[in-house]
Amino acid sequence: MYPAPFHYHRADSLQGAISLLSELGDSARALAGGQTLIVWMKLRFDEPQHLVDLGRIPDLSRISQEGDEVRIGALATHAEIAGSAVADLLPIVRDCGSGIADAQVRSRGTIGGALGSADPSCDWPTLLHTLDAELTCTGPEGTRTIPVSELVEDIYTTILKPAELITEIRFRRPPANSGGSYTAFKRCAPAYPTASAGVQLTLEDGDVCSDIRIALGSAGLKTVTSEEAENILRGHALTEASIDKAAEAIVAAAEPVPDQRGSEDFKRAVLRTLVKRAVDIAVRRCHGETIRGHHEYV
Amino acid sequence: MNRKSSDTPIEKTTLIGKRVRKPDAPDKATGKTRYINDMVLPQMLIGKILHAGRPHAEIVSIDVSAAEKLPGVHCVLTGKDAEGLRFGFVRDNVALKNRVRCEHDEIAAVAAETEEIADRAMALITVEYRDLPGVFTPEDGREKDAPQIHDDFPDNKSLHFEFRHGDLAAAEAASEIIVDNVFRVHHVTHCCMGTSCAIADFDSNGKLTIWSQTQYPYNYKMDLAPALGMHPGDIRVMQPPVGGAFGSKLDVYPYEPIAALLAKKTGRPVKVMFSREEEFRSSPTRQPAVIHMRTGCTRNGTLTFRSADVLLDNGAYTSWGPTIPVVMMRTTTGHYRVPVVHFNAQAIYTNNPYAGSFRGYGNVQTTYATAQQMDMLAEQLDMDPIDFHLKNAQQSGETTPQQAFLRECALDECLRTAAQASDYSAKHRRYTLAREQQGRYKKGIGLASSIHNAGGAKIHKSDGCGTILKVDDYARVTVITGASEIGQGIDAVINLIVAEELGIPLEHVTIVNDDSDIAPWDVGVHASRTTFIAGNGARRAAVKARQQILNAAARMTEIAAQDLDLRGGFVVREDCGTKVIKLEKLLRRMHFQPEPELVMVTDYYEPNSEPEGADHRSDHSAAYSHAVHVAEITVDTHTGEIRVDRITSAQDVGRVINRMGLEGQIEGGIAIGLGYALSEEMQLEKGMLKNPCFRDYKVLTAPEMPELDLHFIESNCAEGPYGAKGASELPTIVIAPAIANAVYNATGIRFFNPPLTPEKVARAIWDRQQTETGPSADR
Amino acid sequence: MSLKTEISFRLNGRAVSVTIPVTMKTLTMLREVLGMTGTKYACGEGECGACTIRLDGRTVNSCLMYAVDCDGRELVTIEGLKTENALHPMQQSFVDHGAIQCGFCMPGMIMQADYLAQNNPELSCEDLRRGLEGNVCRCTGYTKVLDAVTAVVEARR
Repeated sequence: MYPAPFHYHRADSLQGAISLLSELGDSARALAGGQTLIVWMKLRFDEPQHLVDLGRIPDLSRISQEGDEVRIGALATHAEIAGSAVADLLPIVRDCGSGIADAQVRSRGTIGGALGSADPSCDWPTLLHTLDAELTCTGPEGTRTIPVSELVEDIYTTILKPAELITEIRFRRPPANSGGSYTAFKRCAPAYPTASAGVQLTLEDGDVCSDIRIALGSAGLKTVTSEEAENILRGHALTEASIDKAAEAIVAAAEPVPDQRGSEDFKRAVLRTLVKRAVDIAVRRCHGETIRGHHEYV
Repeated sequence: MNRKSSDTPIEKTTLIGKRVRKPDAPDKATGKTRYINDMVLPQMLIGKILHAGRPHAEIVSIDVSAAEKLPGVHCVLTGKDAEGLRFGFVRDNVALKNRVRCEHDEIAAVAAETEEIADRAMALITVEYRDLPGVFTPEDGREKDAPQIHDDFPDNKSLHFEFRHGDLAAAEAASEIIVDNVFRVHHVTHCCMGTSCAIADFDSNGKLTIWSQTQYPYNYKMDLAPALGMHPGDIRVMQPPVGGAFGSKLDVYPYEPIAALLAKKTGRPVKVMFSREEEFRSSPTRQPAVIHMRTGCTRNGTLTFRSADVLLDNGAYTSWGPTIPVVMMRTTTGHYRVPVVHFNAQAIYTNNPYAGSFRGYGNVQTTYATAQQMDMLAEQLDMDPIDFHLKNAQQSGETTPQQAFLRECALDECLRTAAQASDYSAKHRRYTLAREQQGRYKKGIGLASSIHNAGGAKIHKSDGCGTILKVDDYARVTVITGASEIGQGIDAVINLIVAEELGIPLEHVTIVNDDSDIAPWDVGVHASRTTFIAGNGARRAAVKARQQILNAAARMTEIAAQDLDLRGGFVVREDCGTKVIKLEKLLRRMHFQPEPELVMVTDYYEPNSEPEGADHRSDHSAAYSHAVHVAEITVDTHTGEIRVDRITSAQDVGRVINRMGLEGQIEGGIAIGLGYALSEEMQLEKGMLKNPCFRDYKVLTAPEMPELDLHFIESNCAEGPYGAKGASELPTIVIAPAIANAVYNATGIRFFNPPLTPEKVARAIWDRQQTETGPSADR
Repeated sequence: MSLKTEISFRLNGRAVSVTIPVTMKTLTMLREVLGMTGTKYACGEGECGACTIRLDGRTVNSCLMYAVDCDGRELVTIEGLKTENALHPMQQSFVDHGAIQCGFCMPGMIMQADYLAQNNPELSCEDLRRGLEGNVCRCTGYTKVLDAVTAVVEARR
């Protein structure tokens, strides 16, 4: 089926894109990698009259580390991120980037597009919650920084203003004694995960967990986090019992929506398992073990 | 030293059993192959179909006037254009409907200049429906007050099949152990990568040419004709390369007569091609069924009886799906030595999508039940399942209650081979003991076996195949065969057989089988018959040509024909391989002699099987074969995930012809069977498909394919070409129950309703934990 | 801003200019405008890999990309892998290993396999299986596909 007719505009600069988007208003959409938007338009879930293609805006896909800050341009593709030096350093980033959909989709899909879709099943938002990332956003009124946890207002809805675009993702590189893991459970390559979990934790004096962030994807209308769960583990030696308890706490905070991928209680069970698996891998990575993480097929 | 080339002896070699490349593979690898989906004809219009999108309704009104007025639209057809043109197995279908009986029912069709215009025209058609209460399970369809789906099929009853042999009550009384279960097997679909497509074109004399994906071109004419009000003789069927079929193209489906009706009305060629969503919603399914099976045995492990009471969800119309009891009963009655067998099957119309034929054809469903009941009985007997299977396995020369004569039966060799290669018995005991221990991951091993026709199945009046073979002046051979190539590799088999008999390079054989005006009759690609039937035909034709050539050579060289052979493009001396004359030179001499002689032979091979018959007592196939699969799996008891680690397969293939092609058929068959067992399911809610896409309908992909260990048992079938038997359906048939038996071995839980999705398995494990430990906190 | 636009790009090493509607997908342009039917439509939603092509060196689903975005880029399709005199080694390996049955998914499969083999000389079995996760094949069960790619990778070592 053909999409509804639209006009196509290729932006050659960020400012140009913003001006076009403000001029065209509600009937325009920003097109990044298109791996979600093009499908939506094909299915006529969305029928914009104008597409503003951001793909050729220079410098929006740079991936860099400066000091202890990691910066990822919003147009960096999943494949570019998974293959970057940042991913060499932070295996949690590779876990996530290398498991999204399949290789062909990862060549085109972008991190900014994934964030902008505000889909709670997308992998990047979950991961970025565990790294306390901040987003640089630029719009007609200038540039501002938004914590990733504040981006999504509701499912498929961000707090971005009209014509405002995410341009960069920034986060602090976790300390050397920190380890992370992102793991997801999905039925097949093109499906969004049934459930996913990201954990980044820091161990001191052997196995005392001095800091931890846990986030769940496909676990409700937004990414799910739980201070209660983190507090159970933070400041204590990790034990099987405490990990179980923390997993229960964050899963209790989740409100998974039953759909093709599973019922609510099945998703809870999977989330519980994924949290434990992610904690286990994160701890082992803290201890210097090299573990290949990836999305689990079932 | 100068030697004449003709002095060089040529060793006698054989191609049989070798690895031979498919002749169509290079073009397919380079993108050069023009599939039907790629075809464009001059003046061709695009046809699109408006589907009802509701399961059961009357059409109050339909208005196509706006669509007809759209520039670029050439015609719009509705139910009135196909009125009275009934087709289908029991003539219950028409190409375009005046009433809705299932979600995908074809309500209107458009022919337009482009796909985009056709899409826009479809959106302009307005239909007013009056929805009717529907029937969505065969049980509901049987209820007294159930809505009736077809006026002329009271009580929603479609086809019925029955077979009885022996005194069931007495056999039950004599049984010390009886297992009694209801298996509910689900809707799955073929997922051919090339979506359904037809191109129709009428000539000025009213003759229809239809480019089709059909896998049975000759009977296809007979089935298509009534949907168009035509004589079958006025239809020419062209078969360009297709993107898979797997049984789905063994009938006429409405899009095909619709393409023809549009072409007739517009006077232009019309192409109808499905989108993937349409493919999921509107193409055939595997036949779902509720199977109530009972099997009994004595304390010493001798089978006493087996009975099956089957209820088929016919769907809205009758295609091949509801005829699967013909095969279901063969396995129910003929697999293992069972003295008393009863089989009863009734198909009930529902407002669900309707089933067609699908690789394994009824045997996939039946074996899911029989093979699990064998496992259950072995457990209750406290017997090693292998010993139990061997005790009841037939031997060569036995006849089943339905009169299938197992001339060469290798069931016990298949069982022993698979069990030994996988170390089945020891692992089975070990995992059974480990089941009670703690631990998140559980290993399991499961064995399943089945029987299938392997020399065709005489369900039509003839099960034969015609072959025409000619050899030209350059010793290039053209084989015109009735057998269809749908990707499965019959061209490579025929190529190999002909090259073998005529002693010529493989590259010197051309196969022609894409035009019903040229190729002779064949019953179609189904019933694991093509290598057997068309292979025999090709061999017989090649042997005739060979004899003609050798006789001519004998006349010219004064060496007796029986002392000559054809090898490496030469006529040689049979004993030492010394070259006598180059084959193409001989052929030219034959041609240009005073009494010219061309090598052109014909053959019609009809297997020595008996028609199925109304009483279902006949030796309906020229051969039967068995396969045994052993599945080794790991279950994650937390998530219900089943990882298939390894499949060991032992199958009686009679004799290997093309080893590479045979492996490919078995590997691919296993993959389709694994999907059936583990993940594939059409999720229907009140007749509406909820998952018409690959992200929600999960087929197997490369990361999940297990390690395979294939064993070919060569029982040397007397009737088969070089001893070969048909092989391509058994791998799909046997795998699902092998997985289910392995999951039982790992977890102690039986699954009667495939697919064994993670959620289904996890839920069963939780439910059992609850009954063992009392209700837990938050599930 | 227009509903039709002219674009120029390189396709299998040759310069191409073509005028297309902006709503057209790259897959449709290849098949219906340029007659390059080697690239297949099988799902149209980026879920099966049958339409895989190379775009500026990486493999993409040509059904999930508007043709207008090809402007100025370098495309390689299955037709572009073959050299004048011979099949590309990956194509030849698929033929030799019996990895092709109906063959409909194979243009996409071969494009993806070639990309994996070229970009990772150390391609492990696991990398290979994962790398082909987006390419659905209904005929082969993937076993011979994996054999074919492994043979090419090993020959290059």
